[in-house]
Amino acid sequence: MDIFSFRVDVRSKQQGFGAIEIVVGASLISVVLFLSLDVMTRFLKTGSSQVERTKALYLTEETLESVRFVRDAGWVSFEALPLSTNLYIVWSGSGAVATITPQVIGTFTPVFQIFSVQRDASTKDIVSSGGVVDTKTRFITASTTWASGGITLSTYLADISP
Amino acid sequence: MLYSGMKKQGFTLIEMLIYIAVLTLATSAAVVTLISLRTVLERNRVERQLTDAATSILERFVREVRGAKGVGISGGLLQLNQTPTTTSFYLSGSDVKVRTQVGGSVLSDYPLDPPSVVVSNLSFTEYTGTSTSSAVRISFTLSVTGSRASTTKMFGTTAVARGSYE
Repeated sequence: MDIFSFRVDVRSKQQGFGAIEIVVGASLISVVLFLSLDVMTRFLKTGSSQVERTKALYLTEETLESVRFVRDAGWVSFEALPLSTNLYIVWSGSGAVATITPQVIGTFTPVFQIFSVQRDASTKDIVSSGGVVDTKTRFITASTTWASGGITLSTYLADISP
Repeated sequence: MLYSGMKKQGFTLIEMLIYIAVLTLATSAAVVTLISLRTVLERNRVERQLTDAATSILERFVREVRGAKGVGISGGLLQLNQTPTTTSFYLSGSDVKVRTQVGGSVLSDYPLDPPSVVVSNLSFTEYTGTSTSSAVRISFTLSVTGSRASTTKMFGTTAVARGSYE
């Protein structure tokens, strides 16, 4: 009690608010405000990137489906497409064709690459190296990138022609 | 409370003015922040509704087309023959509806997007480049209007009808 009154006595020599108190108060409030601004910016970014991500996801899936469509048009011409090269789908008339010219859809440029596939000589399982190249199977990766992210999907396509 | 040693009581006019000014600034900043926070939350909600609706329409479309043997498009209606079922996608008012039929009887017929999401420009394109399969492209515009935020986006994808592989 003694200590308390002593402190109050010392403090009571000042009148009203000191500059320190105002500065402390104002900085507390501004910290809180800046934090909520930060939260808002994050919310905004998450929300809009979610829409972009969804659009890009389905454009990437579309690219994989289109490559499948190209495969369906005939394995021979599909097999002749360049490997490990950036390729793009262009829809002309009734069918899809692979081209090396970038095709822009809205703000996106979906791209795909074709890779050869190796299989183990005895088990016929797909191996990353040390196998025999299977000319009847291809590995496809399709990707779409945008300002704040990117999506890559991949699949195997095989010759299913009778 | 009064303590010995205090020369004055209360606050001076200047102190009060400064205090009121600071308090006013702080309060209005807080109010502005709260209002914009609500707007941001609403925008987030609107965009989530948009992506949810887009995902449910596109996923269902891809799934149904992949199982289709035959594709028919008349106007804004896509009909997929899956034997024994027939599935149709069409625009009803502001919703995309999917109808499943067996023979003449309707198994189900319901919208894929919530009433708050408005679908427009629904269009289907069929590509029959080969005899092996056909591909269908869907594209549509979604818009959600909230009290503080609204948004409109275009979505689209393509799926290959795999039923003809058999």
